Amino acid sequence: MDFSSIPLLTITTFLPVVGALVVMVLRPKKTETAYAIGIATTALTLLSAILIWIRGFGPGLSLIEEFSWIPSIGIAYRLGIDGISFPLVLLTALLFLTALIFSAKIKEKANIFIQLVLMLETASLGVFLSLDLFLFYVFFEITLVGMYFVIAKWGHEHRKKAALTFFIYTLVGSLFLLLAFLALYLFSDPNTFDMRELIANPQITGLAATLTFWGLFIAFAIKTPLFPFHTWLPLAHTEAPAAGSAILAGVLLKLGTYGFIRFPLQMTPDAFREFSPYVIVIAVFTALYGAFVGLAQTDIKRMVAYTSVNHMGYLVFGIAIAAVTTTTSGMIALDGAVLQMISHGVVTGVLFLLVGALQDRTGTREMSEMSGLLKVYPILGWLFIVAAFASLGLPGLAHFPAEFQIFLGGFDVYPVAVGIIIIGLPLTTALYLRAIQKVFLGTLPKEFSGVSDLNRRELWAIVPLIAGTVIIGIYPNSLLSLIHATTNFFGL
Amino acid sequence: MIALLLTILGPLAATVWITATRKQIGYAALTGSLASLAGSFFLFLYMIEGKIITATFAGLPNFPFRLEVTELSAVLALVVSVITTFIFIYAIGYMAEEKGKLRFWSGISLFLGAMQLLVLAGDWILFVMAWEIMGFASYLLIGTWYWKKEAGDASTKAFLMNRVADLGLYVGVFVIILTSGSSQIVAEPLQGISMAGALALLLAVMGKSAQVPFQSWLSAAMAGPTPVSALLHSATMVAAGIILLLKAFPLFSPDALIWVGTVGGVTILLTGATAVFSEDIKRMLAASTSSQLGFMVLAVGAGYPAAAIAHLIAHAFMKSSLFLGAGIFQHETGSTRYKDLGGAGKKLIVTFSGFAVAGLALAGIPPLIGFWSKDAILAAGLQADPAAWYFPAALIGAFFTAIYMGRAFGILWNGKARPDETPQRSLPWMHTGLLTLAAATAVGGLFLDPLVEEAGFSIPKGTLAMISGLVAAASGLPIGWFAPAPAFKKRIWMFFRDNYPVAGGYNRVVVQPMLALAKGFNAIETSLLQAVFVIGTAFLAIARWLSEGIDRATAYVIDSIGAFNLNIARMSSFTDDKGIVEGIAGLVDSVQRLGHYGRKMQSGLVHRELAWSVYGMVFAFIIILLTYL
Repeated sequence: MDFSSIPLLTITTFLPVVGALVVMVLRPKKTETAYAIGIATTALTLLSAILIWIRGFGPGLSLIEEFSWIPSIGIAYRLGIDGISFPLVLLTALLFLTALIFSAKIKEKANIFIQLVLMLETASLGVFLSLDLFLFYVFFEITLVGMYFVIAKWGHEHRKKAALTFFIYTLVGSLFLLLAFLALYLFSDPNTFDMRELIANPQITGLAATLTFWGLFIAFAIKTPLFPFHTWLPLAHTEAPAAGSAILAGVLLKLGTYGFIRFPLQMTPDAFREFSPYVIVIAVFTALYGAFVGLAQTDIKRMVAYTSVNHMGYLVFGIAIAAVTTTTSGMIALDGAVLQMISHGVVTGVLFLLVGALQDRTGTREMSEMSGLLKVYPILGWLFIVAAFASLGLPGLAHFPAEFQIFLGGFDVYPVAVGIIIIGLPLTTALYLRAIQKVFLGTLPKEFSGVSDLNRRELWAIVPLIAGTVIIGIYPNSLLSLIHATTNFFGL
Repeated sequence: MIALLLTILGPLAATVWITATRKQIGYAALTGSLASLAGSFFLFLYMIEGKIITATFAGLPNFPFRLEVTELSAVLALVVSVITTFIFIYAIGYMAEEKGKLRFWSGISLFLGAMQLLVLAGDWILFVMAWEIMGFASYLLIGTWYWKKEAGDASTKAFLMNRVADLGLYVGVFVIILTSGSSQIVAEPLQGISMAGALALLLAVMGKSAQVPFQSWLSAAMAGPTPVSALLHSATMVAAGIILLLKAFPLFSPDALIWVGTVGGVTILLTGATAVFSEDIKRMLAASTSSQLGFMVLAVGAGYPAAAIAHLIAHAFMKSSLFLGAGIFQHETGSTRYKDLGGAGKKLIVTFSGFAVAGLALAGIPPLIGFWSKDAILAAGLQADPAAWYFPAALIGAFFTAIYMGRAFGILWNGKARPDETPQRSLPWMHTGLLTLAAATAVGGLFLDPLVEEAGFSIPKGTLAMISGLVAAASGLPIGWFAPAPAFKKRIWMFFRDNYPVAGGYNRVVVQPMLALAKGFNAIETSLLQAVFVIGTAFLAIARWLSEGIDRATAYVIDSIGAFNLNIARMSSFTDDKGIVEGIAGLVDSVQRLGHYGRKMQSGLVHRELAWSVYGMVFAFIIILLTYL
């Protein structure tokens, strides 16, 4: 059979749903069986994503799979991939696999949980691979519903409140997205939902472009999130179950940043350029704000959540730089921003899993109630230290090559903004060092009677992500070569 | 190429081996450092033969990673691996009965690997990576005994302070890359960098090399094991700052160099005074390190990198010996404070002789190594442009050096030794390390000149410099020897001793405002969260009220329709037409059932309503699109 005729993108996208259907039909009595099906499905999805890599794709959107859907208005099922979406697909596949392995301890309504997670995976992959506005929107909305239930059902103490805030916020964002998409459709000539057309030939201009840009901006700023639309994030991240937080931070935030690149940067480039100073101010402020607020947290999970805000500030800064300048600096910054999505996904994903493991053992997330835990949990402690240093941008680990490029590209255009935004680096350093010092260093309380260190299940979930962190850090070119080919193709 | 990889990867492989197998960890680390030694030795030979070795790897797009063996880097790599190897030999003895071996040996091997990477880096991005990884390794090492509070505090402080200063390195490197369009480190650049870029790099140097006002992390770093201090203070870590200066020297404009020299001069004086008034042997050595590094910074600022290289090499041997000696004293007396160390030198005569040789060398007594390198610095100060400022600073610094070393000798030798309590432990390993390095300081003076020549520089010399240096050493040593024993009670001396706690020091000036700012932002965040939640709740209440209203209205309508229908049905019953009655009753039933179904959808958990609203929205979207046609 001809290898190239297999619709790999469709298979990758819908494999998880097939797994969910299998669980639904079989209704396994034992949770182990259900998880085995779920994990096998996500593993196959990862394999399928790797096959895409092996098959190879061009710098532009390629491996197109297109079927007519609602031909009368030009809505079609269109999937495609390039150097920006592929790393995200790989990240999604990896994170869902590890998150599901990690959550195999959840016994309550495991079947439904697995189905939801698998549905969420399909929706996320669909967002990254869609080349049709309508299809994108449908997948985008489904992620929202899936995540809502994961938080509301399997979260911690204040899960209802968190889920609700998350939902309302992102729903409002969706409204703006919908309006912006309609505008993109209406102002294209001939009217089309085909994102390739809209990217190749951005036609929207004037006030319409401005409004569309801000509509897209608000939608993605809520998802990403940027200040002041970020307030759903700490609640949702803190209250979600560990695997949910990992997926939320690792994958779902990237829907927003990916959107920033795919839509404002590629479809309304002139408007983005015009308003980029505002975006840069917001991004710089978000980065510092996230770092400062993170520094003030006493709840370790919440602290990690705020570092996401900080990192997303860097990321959007990089994208805004790419919007401003057409020189190589813009490309450098965009390379960095795309890599930052992956780095943040892997690093923050593993941090949430580790914090979850910590909470399972100590029964608390308050840092002041923990001390000297390195003695009883050396593996957990050291992995946390490595992940924390990755998150604070230590070279040799995942975030450094990304952030270095963002700042380097930005420094050419806005040296002062870079001078301010890099203050975030010592701030995140301070907050992680404080956390490590409080939780892992110092003396162990005498009465402490802990359970054992990380078990095999947890290690199977955490170690691949740590390995990914190191690989990206030492050999960033593995992903950057793909990303760079595409940003080069953009001809910024 | 193999030698190059061996130099860097040898220690890193040891780190991996140690963390993976946890077997024979001390010897594994020593093997790693010996591999590094062999590698750097071959690199040195190749360099003498004139072979140019470079290696390029995939790095960032447009900026490949590059390793390059220059004359300077070959010499420095050799010095680093020689000193480290002997410190490792010492550490096998020192750590034999200490806790935390695993962390220590894996961390210290990583540290060596990172330092060699830094020395041999041929591009600025790799340099930054090595620089920060070394900082991370120092964090781990200082925190070897993590359960002690001061170890945790010190490692946090060291890394954080360095991280603040490292922002300078980032900015400086951005300036370099954007000015030249390439990340390669070149010996003869086409154009220099701006003042801002140069000052940014200087900031990084000040952090790493513990120059004023960043000197305090270095004395706090004493909380780690002694071999760590010996390594941090000699050929690695602090030396990285000087290596940065040497690599960036060709890019600096003369105006920028004045700033460099000024930082060096101020540090020589201030930290030299701290060392004089210290009451703790390790703190004295730490302050002395800052001061000696100040000499090197000053020499670069004066425009004589050769003098800085000479002193870097000489100081690496001297200071590592001094620390190794101090570590043995500490092991034997259980303390590093002068008041507990009285007479310890008489008891540990071998240790004391090693310590004394290195100390005399540092004070600048000929023909020991320090005499030659200090002479070079003084000559550089004399020949520099603002000699009126550089030379006196260096000379007073040399005088201070002689005083604090003399004082240490006096305290260790005079005074009554405390009775022997602890048995001597693992001394052979420790003495091997100490005495070899001390011997190197004794005879190293002969090799210093040719070594610097090999590195491609020539050391400045001068008779006036030599004589004044000798006078400073000869007058300072006796002053120190006879100076009053410990305990400076006056506030002014304590101010010197405690590293100038200006306005409450680092804690008050940096940490507390930062935390206050964090609290402020957090307050904003909390009120923002509350506001959003209030709005959200209000919105939901309205939505619920509306939906309930609609619900009730619908129910009312349905019920009344039902009632109406029933009435019709009743009326129609008069017509005695059963078929119609049953038909209408069935209709009513189904309408009522529909009403219940609708109500079921609308009531219940909030999230269900929301879920429906999404599906409704998607549906509405489709309708809109379809009608648009």
